[in-house]
Amino acid sequence: MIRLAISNEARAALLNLLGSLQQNLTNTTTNVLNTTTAATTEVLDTTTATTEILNTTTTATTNLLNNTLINLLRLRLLPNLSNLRNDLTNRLNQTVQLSTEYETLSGVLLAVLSDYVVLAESDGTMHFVNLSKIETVASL
Amino acid sequence: MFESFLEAELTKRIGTPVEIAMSDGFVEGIITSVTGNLLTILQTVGYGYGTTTTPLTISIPAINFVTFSPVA
Repeated sequence: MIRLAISNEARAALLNLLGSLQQNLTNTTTNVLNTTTAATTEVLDTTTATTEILNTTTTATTNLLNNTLINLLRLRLLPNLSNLRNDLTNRLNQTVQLSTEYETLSGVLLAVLSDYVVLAESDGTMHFVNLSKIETVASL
Repeated sequence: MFESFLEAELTKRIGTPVEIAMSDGFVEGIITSVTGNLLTILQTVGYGYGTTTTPLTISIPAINFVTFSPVA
């Protein structure tokens, strides 16, 4: 052990120094802890957001796939109407006469969809005609 | 603008007054629901099928055409 004789002043200065060193250490530790906590919270928040995005994406993809599959199956199961659909598609925006078992309708052919067509009359009346129920087609 | 399938298009129009023509008859009513290929309406005019007090369920493939009249 080495003993050094120091003056009272020097001793006080040394004690002061020691005190401030301790204070600095405490402050630094607190700062490091705060930063770590903030960073961890941010990481956790980001993880939650990522999980949410993943969930949303998964659900959306599943729904899209299901809908596509259902539509494909439906198209397979529908009677073969592609010839009729092609013929009607060529008459889009023309005035046509479509006959069904119930009644014959006339109007402008607005749209041809997967299983129905849209016919608009001049007064704004709209008919959605089932493709499988169309018997004859004539352009007017 | 229009849905690919009649069923989907009718689903969009729940609550709307319609006229529906089947091969041998005609009904008028308000669309209350669309479930699979079934359409349910509440008839507003008492001729055709059923009554105005009970909902009428119609098979969508049996429909000849659906008519929407412009809002007066």
